[in-house]
Amino acid sequence: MMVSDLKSSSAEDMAAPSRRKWGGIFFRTFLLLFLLSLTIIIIFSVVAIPRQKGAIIKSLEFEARSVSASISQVCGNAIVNEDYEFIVEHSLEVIRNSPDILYIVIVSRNDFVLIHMAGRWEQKEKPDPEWAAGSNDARMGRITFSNLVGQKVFHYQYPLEYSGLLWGKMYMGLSLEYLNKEMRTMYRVMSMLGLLCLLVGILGAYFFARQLTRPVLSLLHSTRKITTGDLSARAEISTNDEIGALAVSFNEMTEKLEKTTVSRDYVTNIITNMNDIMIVVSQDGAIQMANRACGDLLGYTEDELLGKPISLIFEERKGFARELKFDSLINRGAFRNVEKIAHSKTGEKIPILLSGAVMADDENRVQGVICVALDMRERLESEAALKKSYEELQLTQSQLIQSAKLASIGELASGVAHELNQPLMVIRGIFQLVRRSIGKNNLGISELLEQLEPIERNTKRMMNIINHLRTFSRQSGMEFGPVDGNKIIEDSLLMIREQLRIHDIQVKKDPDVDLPKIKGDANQLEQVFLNLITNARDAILQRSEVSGKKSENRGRLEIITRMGETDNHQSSINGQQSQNFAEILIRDNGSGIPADKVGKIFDPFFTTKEVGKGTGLGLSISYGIIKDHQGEISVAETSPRGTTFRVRLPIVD
Amino acid sequence: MKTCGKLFLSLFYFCILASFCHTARAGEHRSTVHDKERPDLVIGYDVRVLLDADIKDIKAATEIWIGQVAEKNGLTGEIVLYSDFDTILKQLKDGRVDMATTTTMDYLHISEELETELAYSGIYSNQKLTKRYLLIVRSDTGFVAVNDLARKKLVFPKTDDVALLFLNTLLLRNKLPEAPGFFSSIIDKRKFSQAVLSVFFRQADACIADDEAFSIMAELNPQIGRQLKIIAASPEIVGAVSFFRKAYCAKTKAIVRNATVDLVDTAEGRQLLTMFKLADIYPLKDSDLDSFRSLLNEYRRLKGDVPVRKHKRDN
Repeated sequence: MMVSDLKSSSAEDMAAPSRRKWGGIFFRTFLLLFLLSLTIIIIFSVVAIPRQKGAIIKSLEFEARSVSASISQVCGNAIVNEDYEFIVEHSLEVIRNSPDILYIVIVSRNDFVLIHMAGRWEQKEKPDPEWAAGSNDARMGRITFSNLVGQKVFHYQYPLEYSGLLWGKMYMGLSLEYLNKEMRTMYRVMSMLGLLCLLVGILGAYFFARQLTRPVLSLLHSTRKITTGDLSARAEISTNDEIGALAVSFNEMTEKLEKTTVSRDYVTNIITNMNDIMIVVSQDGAIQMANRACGDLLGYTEDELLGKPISLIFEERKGFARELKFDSLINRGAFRNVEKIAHSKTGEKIPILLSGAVMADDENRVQGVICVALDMRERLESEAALKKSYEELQLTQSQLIQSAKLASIGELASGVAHELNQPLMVIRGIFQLVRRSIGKNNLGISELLEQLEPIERNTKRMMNIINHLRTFSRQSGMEFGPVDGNKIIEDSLLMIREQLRIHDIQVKKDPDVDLPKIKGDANQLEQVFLNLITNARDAILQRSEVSGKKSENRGRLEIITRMGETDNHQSSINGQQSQNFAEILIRDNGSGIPADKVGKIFDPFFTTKEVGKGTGLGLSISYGIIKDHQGEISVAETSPRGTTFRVRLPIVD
Repeated sequence: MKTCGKLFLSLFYFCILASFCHTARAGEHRSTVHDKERPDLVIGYDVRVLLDADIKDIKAATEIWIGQVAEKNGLTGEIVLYSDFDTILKQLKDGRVDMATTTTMDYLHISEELETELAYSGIYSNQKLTKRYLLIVRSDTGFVAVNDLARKKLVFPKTDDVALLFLNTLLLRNKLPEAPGFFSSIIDKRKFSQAVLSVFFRQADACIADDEAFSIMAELNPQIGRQLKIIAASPEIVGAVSFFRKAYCAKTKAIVRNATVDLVDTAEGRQLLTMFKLADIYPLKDSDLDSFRSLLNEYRRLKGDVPVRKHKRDN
C-alpha cells in the first residue's frame, strides 16, 4: 500500500444518506406519528359519531316523550270523555307550534284513530296495522320510514293512561331534519376537527420527527464532514437524552480521531516527503510499503515494488535475507547503519546505509520489518572530499606550524646566539687562562683538568641548546605520547630565558612536581608555550614602552603547572564526564588585552602588535594545536595590569 | 286557524298603529273635555270580538311597533278594553273614548245613540271583507232544514251576537221559536272550529260557524267537507267595524285613515298584517253594512221591533 492510499475517501458513502431519505428515521417517525394521529382520529370518529348520533336520538326521544306526556296530560280528560274536538285542536296546535312534529296519531282502545299532521288531520274508525293499539304499551321510539309523511321519521310510541288504565296509544313522528342537521353539523365539525387534528398531527409529527432527527442529522452532518477530512467538525447537540450522550461520545471519539489522524497524517507526510528510503518488509520478505524516495532512488514504480521480495533491491540477497530472518531479528530487535549496496531498476549499484527494526503489534506479534536506508553516494563523495580537504588542511597546518617555528627561531635567534655566546665566552676565558698558565708553566695536570672542566660543562650546554633548537625546528608529524609538562615548559624557557633576562623580565616558576604525564606532542606543545611566553614578553615590553619607566614596575612572568578537574556543572554542560587534566597558567604583568578584542585573539591573522612585529598566526596555531590535543586554551583573565593564559591538557590515564 | 276575534283584534291594533304613525301634532287634537293627562288617542275595544285570540301576544307585538312610531311622531295613545255594550256606549258618549272596535251589531246600536263615523274593517286572507254564518249538520243525519233540528243539540260561540241573530232570524223566518226554545240544548264553544268539530264527532246535532272557519276545517280535514253539510247560510255581512266619535278631531281622524291605508305599502306594515293574518285594511262605507242592517231589520221586523235606520252621514 502506498502512503497516498491512506487519504482515500468514499464518495459512495457520502451519497448513501440521501438515497435513504424516504427510509430514514425522519420519514419513519413522521409516518408513524401521522398514522398514529390518523388512527386516533378515526377511532375517535368511529366512537364519537355513533355516540353523538345516539345522544341526538335520545334527545329526540326525550322530546317525543315530553310532548307525548304533555299531550297525554292535557288531553287525558278529553280522551276519557271522548272530547275529540279538544284532542284534535290541541294536537294541531302542538304540531303548529312544533315544526319537528310531523304527525300525532292517537288511537283509542276502541280503535278510534285520530291522525294529525301539519295542516291536516283525519279520523278513522279502524286503524291501519301500523297504528294498531296492540298489547305493547312500552314507551319506545325508533327511526323508520313513515308512509304517512313519506319520509324517514323518529317514530315514538306512547301509552295513553288515565287513572291507571290504558285508554289508548299515541304515536308521534318527529322529523329527522334536526337529527340530520345535527349529524351534518357533526360530520362537518368532525371533519374540520379531524382535519385540524390531522394538520396538528402532521405538524406535530413533522416537528417531533424533526426534533428527534435533528441531532441525528447533526451527527450525520458531522460524520460527513469528518469523512471529507474536516476533523474539526463536532456535533452541536446539547440535549440530555441518549442522543446527547451519543453526541458527547461522538465528539470525544472525533477528538481522539483528530489527534490520531493528525498524528497519522503528520507521520504519513514525514514518510512521504522524507528524503531517505523507507521500506516495510513482511514476515516472508515481501515489500509491503515503500515510500516515494525509494521509488525515486531505485527507479521502480509502486506496482513494481509492492509484493516483490526484498531481494529485488539488495545485492547481497542471500546475506541480507538472512539478516531479515525474523527469529534472529526479533532477538536482536534492530540493526543499525549497515552499509549495503542496493540495485536500482537500471542495475546501478547504489551504496546505502541501512537500519531496520522489527515492527510488532500490541501483542508483540511480528508484523514486519521497517527498513530505513540512506543514500550514501553523496555522503561518500563528501567524505572523500572532506578527507582530501582535511589532508590538505593538515599539510597546510603543518607547514604553517613549521613556518611559525622558524619564525620563532628567527625571532629567538639573537637570544639563542647570546645563549651560545655565554658558554663560548666561558670557554674562551678558560682557554686564555690555560694558555697563560701554560705560558707560565705553572699548570699541573690536575690543575689543568680542573680548569678545563667548565669547558666540558659549557660545551654540553651549547650542545644541549643546539640540539634542542634543531629538534624544535624539525618539521615532523603529530606524535602523541606521554610527555612531561614541566619539562616542556623548561624546554620552552631554554630558548628564551636569555631574552627575558636581557629585558629584565623576572621568571617565576611554580611547577607541580607531581604533575602527571600529558598526552600530547612535546614539540607542538613547546611551540604553544613558547608562543605564549613570547606574547607575554611582548606585552611586558609594550607596557614598559608605554610607561617609559622600566624600573618602576619590573616585568614579571609567572608559569604555574598544576592538576585540575572539571567540575560537575561544567561537565554536565559539555555533556562530558568529569575528568582530570593538567593546567598550565602563564601570567604576565603586561599591558593586557582590550576587552573588545579578547574574543578575536584566536582568529587567524589577528594581532594587537604593531605592524611588522606579529603575523597574527601564533595564537591561532596554538589554538589548533591545543584542540588537536583535546585540550583548551583561553584567556583566564586580562586587565591593564596583566594577562593570564590558561591551557588545559588531558593527562595520561 | 282564523277567527273573527283575531280579525277584530288585528283591526283594532292597526288602527292604533296608524294613529301613532301619522299623528304628528298630538297636542292640537286633544279633546277639550278631558284633563291634561288624557292620551291623544283613546281606543276602546270590545273583548268579545277577540274570541280565542291571545291578547298578550298581539299586544306585545303591537306595542313594539307603536313604540317606534310614537318615538317618531310624539304621539301618545291608550287602549281601553270593554266586555259589555253599555260601558263602551257610555264611554263614547262621555268623550272618554275617541275610537272603538265592536261587532257590527253593536256599532249599529251605538250609531242609533251617538253620532259616529266609520273607519275600517279588515280584509281576510281570502280577500273578502264580509263573511257568512252557516248552519251545519252531519250529512248522515238526514237533516235538510232548520225545521229538522227541533229539540236537537246546537253548538256555537254564544258570545257572537251575530251568529245568534242569524239563527233566530232563520228560525223566525220559518215560523219557529227562537233558539232557546227550539233546541233541546245550546252548547257554548269558544271558537267556531270547536263547534264544527262537535258536530263532526257527533257530540252535537248542529252548529253555527262562519264560512271561513268551516272552509279552514274542511281544508284541514276533507272528511269534514264530506261528512258535514250546510243547511242554511246568512248573507254576506261585515262582522266587526272600527269607528270614530263624530265629534273627535277631524285632523287626527284623517291622519289615522291615511296611516292605515299606507300600512300595506310599507315592509313593516305588511309584516304586521301577516302577523294578524290579514291581507289589508279596508276603509268602510256605511253601505258596506247594508246586508247586516237588512238582516237585523228582518229580525226586528219578524220580532215586531223598530227597524234599524241607516247612518245619516253615509247616506
